[in-house]
Amino acid sequence: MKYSGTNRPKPEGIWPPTEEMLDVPVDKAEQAKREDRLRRAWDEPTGLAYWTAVNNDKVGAWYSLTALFSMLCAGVLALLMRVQLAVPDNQFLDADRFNQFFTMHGSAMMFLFAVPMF
Amino acid sequence: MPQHRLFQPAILLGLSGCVGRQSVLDPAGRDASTLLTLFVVMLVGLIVLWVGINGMMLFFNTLSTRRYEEATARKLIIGGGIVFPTLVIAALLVWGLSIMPNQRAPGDGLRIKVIGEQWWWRVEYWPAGANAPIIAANEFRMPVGTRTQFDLTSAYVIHSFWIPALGGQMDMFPGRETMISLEPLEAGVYRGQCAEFCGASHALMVFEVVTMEPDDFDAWLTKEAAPAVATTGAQAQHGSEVFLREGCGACHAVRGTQAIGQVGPDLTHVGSRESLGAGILEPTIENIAEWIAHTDDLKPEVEMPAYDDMPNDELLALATYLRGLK
Repeated sequence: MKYSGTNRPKPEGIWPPTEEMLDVPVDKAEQAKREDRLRRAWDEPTGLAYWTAVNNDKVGAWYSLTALFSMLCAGVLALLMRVQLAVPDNQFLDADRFNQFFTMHGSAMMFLFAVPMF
Repeated sequence: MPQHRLFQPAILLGLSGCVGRQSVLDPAGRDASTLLTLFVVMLVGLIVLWVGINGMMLFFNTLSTRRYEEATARKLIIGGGIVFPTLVIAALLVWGLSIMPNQRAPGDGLRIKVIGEQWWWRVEYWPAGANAPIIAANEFRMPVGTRTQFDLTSAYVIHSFWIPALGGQMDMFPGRETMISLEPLEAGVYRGQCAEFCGASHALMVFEVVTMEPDDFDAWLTKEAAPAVATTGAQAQHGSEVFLREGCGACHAVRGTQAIGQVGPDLTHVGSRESLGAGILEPTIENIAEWIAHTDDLKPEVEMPAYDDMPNDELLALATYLRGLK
């Protein structure tokens, strides 16, 4: 049911709480139990449930790491192209393979790294 | 002393791009010289500004320890950060536009129509007032001191026409005609290349450019317009028979013979070209034979079939014949 607007639950007892009410010390065991419940509500999930986290710091980190991984893969393609171009008349990559490499390098770098990261 | 000797080769390696027949830093044409001037002015200016700005940052952040008035800071920021850049960039814009080489200035007479094929260059010379073109391939010759107009188009894919020593690039599009004009200032042999990825052998689509004094050029053009020279020698004669028997004439034209094919490069005067296979080989008899026998090894995915089952003596005869087509 809706808990806002006119459906707000009516406060029971004295509202707002008075200074005396607020000065009453909380039972230590009760306080510990409340802290524990709060902490567990905000804890990072463990095990396989780790991947269900919705905290956007975490999701952002995964996003950036994936983009970085794509950058490294595209970088490997670039290094292999450099091997081909290192000496004249090299036969390390044939023409067709070289063309595939620079196409994939460009697409991966732009769409999987640059656009997601920046 | 030994340390200097280590540096020398490294420096030479760095400077190897500064000279040569394909260097923008070694111009031989009017447009290329203008572009080099623009580049050098901007380079010097940018170095001065870079040192100046970093120097100022170093000075004000680290070296100088006195406090500065707010008014001084404001004057420096507004003067150095708004007024100065506006003036410099405006001046640069006006100057740059005024000297920008007019790459599409109309030519002084000679028009060369270029059609980009995969992966070679179809060339038609249209001298001023001509009704029919002089057809050639893979090499361009033009007179020094006059502006030659290039009308560029392409057969299937996008290519780009670039002679670094003479001027800038101009793309060649199928179904569309673009134009660039170039004015060489020195006679010599230069190298140009395709500057837009066009397929498997894009890197092997190269051409030679020979700039000549106007009289030499006119003499050459007359020779080029003539049909193929007569073959001399038994081997060349045998080669011409092989040429027609193997059906080479179905793709390659040799004016004055029965060969009238338009699919491949015109071979009427192939013997007098500076290179073979669109700039990728020295035009020796061995290389011509090697090319005919193994086209697909030398130029991946090329359309010309490889005649690798042709006996060696016939290959040499063909090569001799073609080398003699000067």
